Amino acid sequence: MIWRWFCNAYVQIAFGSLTVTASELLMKCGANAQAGAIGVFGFSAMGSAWTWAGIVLYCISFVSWVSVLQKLPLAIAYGLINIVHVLIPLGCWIFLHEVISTQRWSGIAIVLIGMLLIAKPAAQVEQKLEARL
Amino acid sequence: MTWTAIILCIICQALIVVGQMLLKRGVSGRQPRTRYFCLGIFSMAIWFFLWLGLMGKWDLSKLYPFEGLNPVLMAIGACLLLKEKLPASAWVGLGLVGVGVAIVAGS
Repeated sequence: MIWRWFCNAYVQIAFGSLTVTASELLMKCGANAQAGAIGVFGFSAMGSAWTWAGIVLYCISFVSWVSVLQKLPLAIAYGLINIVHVLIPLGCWIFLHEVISTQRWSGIAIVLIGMLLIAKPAAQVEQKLEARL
Repeated sequence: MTWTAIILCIICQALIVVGQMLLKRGVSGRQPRTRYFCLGIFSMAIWFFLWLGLMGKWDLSKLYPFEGLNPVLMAIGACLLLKEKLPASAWVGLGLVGVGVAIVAGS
């Protein structure tokens, strides 16, 4: 019963966006824990347990996303998953104490509006590109 | 942000677009393909280490909006590879994402 509720596409979207948010925040913690200066690639962050927790959650969120795509039209899923663009900066602000200026919030808001406008055509384009693979 | 960081962020998004498409193709669909899956994992691995490197230097709230370039890159890919025509509203959306990302990068 609970499992069936959990498998509902909209519950999966909520679950997926929360796991993505958590995974990005954890990876950021892992990246911050890197010792000393690093190059372009953050290999040294692999020494942090935060990073590994982030990887596990990322994989879970991917499985959840694939299951959403099997149930919902891509255009709707695309529109809904954009909630992460709100959740992640909020998480950064609350948990990581990042200072987010008004300018940055405005930029984030503009990106979000753009993403919502493009959700439907982007979904169509992605399906066509995937079919070509 | 430096131009190098901005370009690396864009490369990151390109890797994630390609990687996620390959992974999805690899695990779902009528005939799952191991080759696509492995290529997807490879692409995601490069994305991941690059992303960790960037996160070591910049705020996540600054880097994450670059994810908005995801559909922008797909649209460019579709225009180039499939000669797709996008509706006007999509171009407005793509433009807004670009402007938003630029504002965040400058914040």
